[in-house]
Amino acid sequence: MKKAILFGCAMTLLSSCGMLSFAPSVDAKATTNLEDATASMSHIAACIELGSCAGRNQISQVEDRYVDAFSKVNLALSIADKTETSGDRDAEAKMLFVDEITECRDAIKRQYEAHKQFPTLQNAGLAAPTVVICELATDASRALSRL
Amino acid sequence: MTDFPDFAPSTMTELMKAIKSDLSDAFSDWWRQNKTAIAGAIRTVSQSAVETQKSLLKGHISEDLADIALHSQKAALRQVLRHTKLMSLVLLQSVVNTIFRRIGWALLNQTGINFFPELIAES
Repeated sequence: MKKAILFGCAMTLLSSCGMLSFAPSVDAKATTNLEDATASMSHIAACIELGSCAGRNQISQVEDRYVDAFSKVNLALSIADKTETSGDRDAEAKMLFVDEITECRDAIKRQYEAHKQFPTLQNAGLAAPTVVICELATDASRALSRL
Repeated sequence: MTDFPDFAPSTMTELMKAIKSDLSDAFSDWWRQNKTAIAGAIRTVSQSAVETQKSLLKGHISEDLADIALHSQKAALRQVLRHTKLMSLVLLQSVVNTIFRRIGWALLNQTGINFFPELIAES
């Protein structure tokens, strides 16, 4: 009797399973790539804040870091784009996740262009927001990959 | 709380008690992770805005650079809002998964059938 009740419950829940998807599970590789990109941007932010690579004359010291961060974010974006969804609600979550990664990529590019152009970014209030943007995308990836 | 591989409730009350405990853990984890991330992000963006303003007033940075920095701070706030919305959906999914995982283990332990292989990885 007990098994029959549990079996009935399971069938009912299974039948509604398709309607209960709010967020997709994401490949953990996206998190690894975003963690690497965020670490690179944190390094650049610290370097700018300390003044050792603050402007266009010193950008060569961290140019590799920019390239690495940009490349890793692109890889994460590719993984996010390929994430499968099963309905409108988890498709919305996927779209938000893709937008978070895209925002991170745009922020890296914006900072890189400014770094190439201006004599100093020290105390400009530009590097920290880039790190925040990419950190949030990393947090999102971590949460989605745990689902 | 009984470990998943040994969980075999004999009453609905027992099952509900286990689900409530799981949900309490899931909510606590979610809240702990998100309250620090969001508060930290807003604090950093606020500090950056003050930094931009001060540097511009002192003439340390140009108007063009200040404009780019403010644009980036605005983007960070947009990211915070987007992230809050996404994390709400993650919480809902986490609730669903938590409930189904507990029910799935109860069924697996009593019937031998794994109805939710995506949530229950048998060793």
